[in-house]
Parts: sequence; structure tokens; C-alpha cells
Amino acid sequence: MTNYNELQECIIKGNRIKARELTQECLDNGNPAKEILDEGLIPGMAVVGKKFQDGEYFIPEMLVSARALNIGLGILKPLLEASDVKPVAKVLVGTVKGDIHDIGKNLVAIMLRGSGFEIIDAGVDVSPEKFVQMAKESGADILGLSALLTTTMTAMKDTVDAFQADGSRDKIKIMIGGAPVTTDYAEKIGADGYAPNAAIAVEMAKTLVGGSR
Amino acid sequence: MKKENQHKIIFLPANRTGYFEHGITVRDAALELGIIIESDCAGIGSCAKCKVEIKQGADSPTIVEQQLLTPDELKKGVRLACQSSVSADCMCLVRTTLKPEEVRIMTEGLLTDIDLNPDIQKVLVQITPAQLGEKYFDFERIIESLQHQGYGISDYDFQVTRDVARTLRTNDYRITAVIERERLIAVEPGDTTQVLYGVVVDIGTTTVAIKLVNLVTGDVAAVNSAANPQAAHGADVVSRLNYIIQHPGGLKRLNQLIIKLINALIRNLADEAGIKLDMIYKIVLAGNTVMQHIALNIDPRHLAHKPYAPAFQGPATLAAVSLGIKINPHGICYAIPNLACFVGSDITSVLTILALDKQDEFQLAIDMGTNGEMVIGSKDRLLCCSSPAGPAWEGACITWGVRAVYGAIERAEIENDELHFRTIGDGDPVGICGSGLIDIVCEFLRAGVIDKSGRILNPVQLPTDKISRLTDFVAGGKNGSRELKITEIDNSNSITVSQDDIREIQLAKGAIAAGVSILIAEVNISPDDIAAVYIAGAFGNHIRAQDVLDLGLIAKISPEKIKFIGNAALTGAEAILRSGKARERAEQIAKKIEYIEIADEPAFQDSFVESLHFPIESKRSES
Ligand code: B12
Ligand code: FES
Repeated sequence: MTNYNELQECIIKGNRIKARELTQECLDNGNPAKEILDEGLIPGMAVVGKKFQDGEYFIPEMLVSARALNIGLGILKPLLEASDVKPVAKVLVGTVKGDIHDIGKNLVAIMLRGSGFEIIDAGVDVSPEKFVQMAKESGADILGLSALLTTTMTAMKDTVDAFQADGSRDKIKIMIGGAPVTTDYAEKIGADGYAPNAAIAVEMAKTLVGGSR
Repeated sequence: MKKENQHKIIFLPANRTGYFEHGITVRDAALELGIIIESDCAGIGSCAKCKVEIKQGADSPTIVEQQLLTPDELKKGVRLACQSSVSADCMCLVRTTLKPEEVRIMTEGLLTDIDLNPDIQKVLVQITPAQLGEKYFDFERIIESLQHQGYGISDYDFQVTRDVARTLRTNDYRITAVIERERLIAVEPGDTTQVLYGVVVDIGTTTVAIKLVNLVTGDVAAVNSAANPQAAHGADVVSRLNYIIQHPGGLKRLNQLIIKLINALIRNLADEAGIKLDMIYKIVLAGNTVMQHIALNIDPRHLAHKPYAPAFQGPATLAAVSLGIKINPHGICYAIPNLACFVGSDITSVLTILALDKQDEFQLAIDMGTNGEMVIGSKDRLLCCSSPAGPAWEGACITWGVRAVYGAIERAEIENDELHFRTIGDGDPVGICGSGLIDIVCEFLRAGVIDKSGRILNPVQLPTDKISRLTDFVAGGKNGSRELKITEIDNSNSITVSQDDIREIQLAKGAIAAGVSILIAEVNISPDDIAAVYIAGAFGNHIRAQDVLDLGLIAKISPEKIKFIGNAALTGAEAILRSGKARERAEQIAKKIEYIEIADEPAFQDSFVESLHFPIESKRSES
């Protein structure tokens, strides 16, 4: 049984070089990719998420950890695919039309990725039609919408409506977030959930897919 | 009188009563009665700043209220004014309202060699009575006399011609002409050349500042300020724009709110100075681009979306009455030109009294408002941008944040491991305003209680020899995070600075720092090359040069180069009122300045994230 503490610590501290070395070392020692992911990278990222939520970590610390995570994931990815390991779920994330704030959305994507979700990033200023199209193409289980402006919150409603109009609303769970967004608003526009920060977004995403699986 | 389906609400302590339709929100009802309830979120229901106590006849709390209020508060009858609606006669206690006179802002700034030579002038005209058979007409003879005295008149207010015959004859043909540049706007009986006043207003998103100036002596007759009542419809310009977009008649409503406030302020100033409103012939308006559009009743909605197109740059000269501004009915309003979508005439005013555009070396001016606006310039180039910092500097979005009101902590210092602070007016502490917040954060940073990442350190994790009495300030806060306990206000409540508050400051300062670095990069110099940095803002008190550096608003430069200029926008507007030359200068600056849209700058995000840390080597954090 390999001790993954050190690898977890690399993720928590954001040590890229060591994250690469250790991930490789674990593989070389014959540990399965899935185990390295589940017991090294994901628990490390969970600590990062907790620290972020508790105010210990802020945006720069998150981004540094994310880089270490991505290096580890990059090494494992081909092996995971080869052994047919499925992600927890596929999440399409993006910032809504008219809005180019993406730091919050990126943090949400990082935390989801670090919890075993597969992320498809639609970028910023994404129109409702584009979201519908990308959701179809990717087969995403969840759509995560971000808006930071009081004036672009309405585009979240437009996006939910576009899925409705397209007839594909029941094929995808929609969660929303961003500073001006509230639970109430999520309810009002018919989204499935809201999370105030990236750590809770992971919980939310898990509950959303938990229901359908 | 109460009509059917109406309810009576009494607001205390103002003791104002009104009758309202069933279902109106408490906040809307209050505003109808001229009572401003705090709001950061425009009534969306996310800020919890609009707390009131409803004494009788309250409906049951909404889901939002149950989320945002503590069980204790709910038991006491505390409600959110934007969420609770009127469903029976009730009594409502508003504790959080800031009375306008309690709001203090810095009204001092720079004023360099501005001669007293206003566009508005009074000239004595003495003509001889017309003789029978002479060709001259009364009005034309006045114009001719003015021309003789060197005042070319190319235009006039037609109303003047209606009054002129009588005014001349009842005053021995001695009258005073009031001229705005080449336009004759009024005649007054007799010699009143010794009485002429003007006002300047800086319409901030959060605070409105006003000054009455004696244009004969050049003295400032009175100064005042008040919270912008539009704040009830959102804390920042985007929320206001959103209000206009979403509510039919929204522009008119916001316009009326600001005009009513300006009129009230002018009245107060006139009373204080012991003059009549008729003696005021000129009002000069400065403010950010959105505020100015609204004050002039120009639809600003296209500023809300890309490409953020303002309807109008200005300048504008128009009759004050046409805006509903109550000064002399012939009085003139001059709106200072704006510079760009989110860089307003307030910055034009600041630039008018600085000399950025005249020096060989580059200088920098930063206005730290909700939208940070900054300009870099030398005699070769003048360049501005705006960076969306958020309202943290003015106390919004901060747990115990308040504007610069009576009792706000405005200064703090750590000496021998003890925290000393001062409040505005030496009142009992009610909260923390911008300058106090910056002081507290920087002092705890320097003391090593906050590390450079902005984290409040856990005292138990510090090596024992490093634990000082200061760590006693660190307490457990909301969900696992820590907070700094600044002072107790009663047995159950303390004024605190939470970890989240520090994060807000980091976002705000990061945005400013990133804007500054983009400007510096654009003109291709290093921070060292900057000869002077001017900092303007309405924080309460000035911020220290060392704090500017420790916050990291600008990369290392020598602290002597940093100068705090307070509410320079108002001072600049005053210069424009006092001097036609200053006005011309403002108009030239507006023509030549360049603008960078930072949202289009790929470098912004990296620079922003990099600037979130504090560039400080604190005493203990590295251990
Ligand atoms: C950085 C910034 C910018 C940068 C954005 C860079 C980028 N690539 O993102 C730039 C300069 C481009 C920018 C531009 C503008 N901005 Co701006 N900006 C900010 C700033 C300073 C920080 C935002 C941020 O990144 N926060 C940090 C992140 C981590 O927080 P977050 O986004 O809230 O995300 C967290 C949660 O909300 C949640 N979450 C977020 N998304 C999602 C999604 C899902 C699905 C879930 C579940 C959760 C979730 O999880 C995240 C992590 O915990 C804020 C001010 C502030 N103090 O917040 C203003 C602010 C958001 N901006 C504002 C404005 C007005 C603008 C401009 C219109 C102004 C201008 N001068 O040009 C433009 C608009 C551009 C556009 N069309 O979008 C205003 C909005 C006001 C309002 N009422 O709408 C703010 C609040 C500042 C202010 N008060 O004036 N801005
Ligand atoms: S919660 Fe009522 S105004 Fe913000």
C-alpha cells in the first residue's frame, strides 16, 4: 500500500515539479492510475478546497495548486482512458453572454476537475445557443453557468430557456453561480442549483448527478 | 388619507408616516418618504444591509430573509427592507440610515494658481435716457454699452428683453448685466456687481459633495456632502444601469432623486452662508459618466453592455431650470466633459488642477472609487483607464464597513503590540470606513498577523516566541475562517475584520494595481521613472504613503513621491467654476486624452492575480 501523503502535500502546496516526479514514481512502482487519482490527487485537492472555503487559501494559492493538479492529471489521463475509467460526470462550464469575468468560473472548474469530474470549458461571453450546441456535442451531464454582472444575470435565464425551447432541458442539470447570483434567483429561473463558492459547487455537482445515477 | 386597500406605515426615528398600496416593499415605501435605507445589492436580496425592525403588523419572513438573518434577529423583528412587504398597518424602525449630514468626505485637494476669472460675470451698465427722436432701443443700447466696456455679446436670453425697459427706468438707467461668456443671461436692477455666487457638485456613485463659492471674493462660502440617494437602487453604476433597464421610468426616478438632493444641499449651503438662491447664477457638475448622464436626464443604458457607449461626452452648457435645479431662474449649468465610458468628468476635474500633461517625466493619478480610475501622463502623452475595484473603499461589502460617517474608525495604529484607533468626531465606534480599514489591514500585515497571501494566521501555529499579544485579536469567525476583533461595542457584538473582508480588499487593490501596471507598461517605462503619484478618494481620512506601498497599489517607488489629494474632483470642479481658463483646459484635456479598455487587455488577468498578494515582507509570516 503506497502512502499518498506526499503526493497530496504536493497538490496542497502547489509543488509542480514534485507532483510530476511523484505521480510518475507511483506509476513506475506499479500503482494503478485510478488509485493514484483517487487517493493522491483528489484528496489533495479536497484539502485545497477546504482551505479555500475556510479562507486560508485565496485565488493565487488555488491557481498554483491547480497547476500541480493538472500536471498529475496530464500524466494519468491517457492511462485512465486506456483502462476505461469514467469520470464522475461531465460538466460543461462557461460564463454567460455579455460577461467576460472568468476567474470564478475557472476556480469552479479546477475544483470539479480535482474531484474527478471531466470539464469542458466553453469560455466566456457564451450565447445560449452555443451552450445548447456544446452540451449536445459533449454529452455533458451538468452545465455550470457563471455571471458576475447584475446586467448579465438575465442571460442565465435566457440560457435555461434555450435548453427548454430546444427540448433538451431534462437531459442536463444546470447549476449557476457568481457574486450577484442567489439561491432564490436559481429557483426563479428554473436552474437546478446554486453554489456560493467553488468548494460548495463540487458538493452541488455531486448531489446533482447523484440523483440521476 | 388612507384609501381602501392601503396601509399606514410609520417610520421611526424620522417619524414620517405614509399610506401605501398593499404589497409595496418597505424599502420602496421608505424612499417615497425620503428615507434612505442602506443597500449594496439594489434590493436583489443578497447584501443584508437593509435591515430594519418592524414593530407591528409584519408579514412572515421570506426564504431570503430566513437565510440572511440570524434566528435571534428574526425573533427581534429584524427584517430586510427590500424583501418584506407591507401587508398591514405597521411601524418600522430604521437604524442603519446614514443621515446626510453625518457623512464626511475629504473636501480638500489641490488648487494651483487658479485665477479668479469666471465664465459667469456681472457688469455694471449705466446708460443715458433715450431722447425723443433718437434711434436707439433700450436693449440694444445695453449691448452697445457692454461692447464699449469690452464685453462682446453674441447671444442673449430673450427673457431679458421683456424685463429691460422697466428695470432701466425704475433704477435711473443703472443696471447690472449678468453674462455667461458671450451670452447675456439676465439684468438686475441697480449695482449688484458685488454679489455673485456659484456652486460645484461632484456626483459620486456613493457620495455627493458640494461647495458654494463667492465669485466676487473667491472665498468658499460653505461645503457639504450627502450620501447619494440613488444608492437605494444599487451600490455601483452597473446596478443603477440595470435598474434603469429593468424599470420603466427608472431613469426619471434616479434623475429626480439626485436633482432633489442637489436642491436640498444648495438650500442648506445658502442658508448656512446667509444668501438667497437668486444670488447663485452658476452650477458646475462633475461626476462619473453614468452619474452625469442621469443628472442631465440622458439615457445611459448603452453603457451597460459592450461596447459601453456613452450617449454623450460633453461639455454641456444649459439653463439650470431645464434640469429643475433651483438657483437663479436665469442661472446656467455647466457639465464638465467626460473622458470615456467609465472615466468621468470627475477625473477631468482632477486633471485640470494637476499638471500631468505639462511635465517631462511621467506622473500618475489614481482615483480610488468604486470604479478605480487612473491616468498616466507627461507632456507627450496622456492615457487613462478604469478598473472595477468594487465599493470596498467606501465600506460596502465589508462586514463592519461604513462610509465616512460619525463614529467610523478612520485611523488605526499598532504600537508596542497594542492597537490604537480613532473614530470620526471621536464618536462611539459604529464601523470602519475605507481609511480605517486600510490602516488595520496594513498594520496587522506589518505586524505579521496577516501574511502576504492575505491570510490571518492561526496563533497556535506560530512558534511560541513569535506569539505576541496581538494574536489575541485573532478570533474564530464564520465557517472555519478567522477574523480580527477590533473592539467590542457591547456585550454581544464586536467590530471585526473578517477573512472575507480582507479578500474583498485584495480584490479591490488587485484591480487598481493591475490597472496601474497596464498604464505603466503602455507608456513603456518602469515604476521608478514615475515622478509623482497622486491619490484621490473618499476614504474618510488620507491613506498613508507606506500603506499605498504595502497594499501594493504600485510597485516599489519612494514614498515621498506619493501624495494624497482627497476629493480632488470637487476641487477641480471648483477651479473650472472660478476660471474660464481652467474650463478651457478641461475641455482640451477631454479632447486629447487616450483611453485603454482593460477588459480587452490580455495582460490584465495575470497582472490582477499577481497583484492579489501583498508585497510585504512581514515580520513573522515567513517562519
Ligand atoms: C477582476 C474583475 C474584472 C476583470 C475580469 C477578469 C477576468 N478574466 O475574470 C475585468 C477587468 C475584465 C472586468 C471587467 C468589467 N467589470 Co469587473 N470585476 C472584477 C473584480 C475586481 C473581481 C471579480 C473576481 O474575479 N472575483 C473573484 C472570484 C473568485 O469570485 P467569483 O467570480 O464571485 O466566483 C466565486 C463564486 O461566485 C462562485 N462561482 C462563480 N462562478 C460560478 C459558477 C458556478 C456554476 C457556480 C456553482 C459557482 C460559481 O465560485 C467562485 C469561487 O468561489 C470584481 C470586483 C470584486 N471586488 O469582486 C469586479 C466586478 C465584478 N466588475 C464589475 C464591472 C462593472 C465590470 C465592467 C462592466 C466595468 C468596466 N470598468 O469595464 C467590466 C465588464 C466586462 C464584461 N463584459 O464582463 C462590477 C460588477 C457590478 C455589478 N453590479 O454588476 C464589479 C463587482 C466591481 C464593481 N463593484 O464595480 N472586471
Ligand atoms: S438585501 Fe436588501 S438591499 Fe440588499
